[in-house]
This record gives sequence, C-alpha cells and structure tokens, in this order.
Amino acid sequence: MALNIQIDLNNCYAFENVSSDHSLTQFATRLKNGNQAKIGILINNEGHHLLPHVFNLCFGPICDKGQIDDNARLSHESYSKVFSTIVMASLIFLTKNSDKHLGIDGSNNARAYLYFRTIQNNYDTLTKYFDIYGVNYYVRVLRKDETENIHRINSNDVTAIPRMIRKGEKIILDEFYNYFIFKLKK
Amino acid sequence: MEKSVLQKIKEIQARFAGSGKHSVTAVSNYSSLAEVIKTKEQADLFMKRLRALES
Repeated sequence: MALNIQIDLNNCYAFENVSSDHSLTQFATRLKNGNQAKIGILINNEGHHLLPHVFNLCFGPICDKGQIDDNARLSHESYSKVFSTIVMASLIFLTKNSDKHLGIDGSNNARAYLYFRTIQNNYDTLTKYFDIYGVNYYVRVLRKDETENIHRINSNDVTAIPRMIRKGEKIILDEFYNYFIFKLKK
Repeated sequence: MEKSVLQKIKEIQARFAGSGKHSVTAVSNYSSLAEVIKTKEQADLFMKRLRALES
C-alpha cells in the first residue's frame, strides 16, 4: 500500500449514497486492474465503551452479504482519492454530530503506521478541520509478542488515554498509537 | 472551515437528506472488547497480562 497519500478534499470520489444519519457512505473506487469496487464507510451507532464519545469508523468493499469487509486488501488506482473521500465522509458526519468523535483502528501495525504517516504527511490540511489524537489501545495486550515478555507492556496499553498528535512527532514502535481519534475543530 | 469545503458538505447532506437508514454491518470491528476477545485462550491471556500490570 502506498504511503505517500495526499489528502485533497477537492479530489474525492462521488458519493453514491449517504444514509440519512450520515453513518454509512458508499462510493465506487477504481482499482489498479481497471475494475471498480463499491466501498462503504461505516460509523458505529454505539460509542466505544472505553471512550464513550468516540464512534468507530471502518471502511472496505461491500461484499455479497451486504457487509463491509474491513479486512479486505484492494489495490486502488488512487489511495489519495480514496482517503480524501473518507475524510470528506468523516466531515459530513461530524458537522451533523459535533458532540461525537470518530475513531479509526489500526487493526495491525502496518495499518496503524499507514494512518500515522498519512496524518503526519497531511498534518496541515487535516488540522484545519480536526483535532487528532492517538491512543495506545488496550488491544495491544493481545498482540503476539514473540518473547511473551509481559513486562514490555506498560499501563497505557490498557487504559486507552488519548494524546494529541503533534506535527513531526517521532514515536517508537513499542509506544505506537494503534487507534486514532478525530474531533471536529471548533 | 474553508467555505468551499463547507459548501460541498452542505450540498452532499442536502442531496441525501431523505435517503433513510441502513442495516449494514462490518465483517470485523475492533471497537469493542467482545469483538476482540473471542476465545477462552485470548481471554485468559488478556487477564494474565492485566494481572501482571497490576502486580
């Protein structure tokens, strides 16, 4: 997956459908092989139980059963356009639900790193619209540690404390954020 | 927020204002502990590591 993603809200895919509560957005993306894929962006209708104002956002192709496959790996023609569309959908939701925040889970280290790099590479653009936080999420305690050395885990792994992400921030892998929170800038 | 972006948001919101609700779910969703801990082995590991943090 490309890391050089450039967010440009003037270069998004057209929205094919948006639910009336703005929690589901659908659009068609173009893949590298020339095919199209229907993509869904889904925002949970229940807040995160550790972070009650945070509503999880996931995205992926809509499979035959009508579910969003947020584990799928697609080769998009333009990752920048896909992620710009997701940012636009997030803004559409948050401007109607300014008391809520959106959360995106980096479900593995590769995705978490991609999201972190994308935030850093687009920091000035994104912070025009959002306050952005990173969380050392409790799920980290379940990740396979090859040495099974439980002492490498610190308390932040289970308390889910958000920290505002700073421009140019450097972070080591063991303390890496794996959950990102977007709050509409007032 | 930039006026052009705000205008675009309002246009999209107006265009889909009467589109109704949905019943779409995600194949996996990592936002709740119940979704993450699915087996007894995972639950035992989670508790073991939590206890280690407390000791």
